[in-house]
Amino acid sequence: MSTISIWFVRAALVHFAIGATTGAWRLAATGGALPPVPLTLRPLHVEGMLVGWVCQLAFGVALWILPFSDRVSSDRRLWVAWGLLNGGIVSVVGAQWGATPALQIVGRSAEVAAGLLVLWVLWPRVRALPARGHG
Amino acid sequence: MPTPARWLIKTALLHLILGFGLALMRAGQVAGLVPGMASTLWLPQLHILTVGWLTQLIFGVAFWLFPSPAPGTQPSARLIWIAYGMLNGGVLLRVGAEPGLIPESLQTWSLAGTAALQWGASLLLVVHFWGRVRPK
Repeated sequence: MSTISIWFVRAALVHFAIGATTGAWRLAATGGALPPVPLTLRPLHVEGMLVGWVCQLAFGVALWILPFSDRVSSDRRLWVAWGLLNGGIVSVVGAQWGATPALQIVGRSAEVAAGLLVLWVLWPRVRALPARGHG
Repeated sequence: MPTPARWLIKTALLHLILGFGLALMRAGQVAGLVPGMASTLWLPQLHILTVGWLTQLIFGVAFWLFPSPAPGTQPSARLIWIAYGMLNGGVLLRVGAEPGLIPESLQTWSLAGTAALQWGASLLLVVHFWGRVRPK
């Protein structure tokens, strides 16, 4: 697995652990076994699971497994994308915390930019290879 | 394909069918053909599809695809089976524990139980896979 994929996948696992913890707290709180989750922490579950876990894991695995992965870790666009994605998630969650819509826009913009950078890298790698008997 | 991967992926497929089945049942409730309120099973259906199907499929494929652990750091196979049992037990209990389906007196502990099972499974899966996210 390439170094950049390791960073994406490990960050995804961290988001998964945090998102699962917040989700379990919310669920237990629904029945009254724990105090309610503060509203400000709720995005940790949805944002963390959807963007931090699923999207980030998909990025990491795609960068590793799609054709032509040589030297992918030396591509600066991907390190910038990693920073933008995770910074974006933190900003979106932080925006809820501080009720600051401007930070929400910053975070969402960073996520869009990260997605575009990954698209820029992956687009030319999604192409036909010489046939290998797959029919 | 290793045995835990096959069990995780096949069980994920069963959850997919269960999730679609619940969606069909809820559609019937909205149309008045099936008794009950459609909103009652919305969150369980969402969790069956996101946890039982999507997350379980991801970890099943990852078990098969990810690099082997470094020599001497092989996590116990028991870990993945315990996580498998907790994840599926937690998701299924989630359906049964939904407020409106069981007596109110049982809701607190059944919801706490499903939360604890899914949380424990998640942490065990992270522990198992962390060491496998490495160069081949």
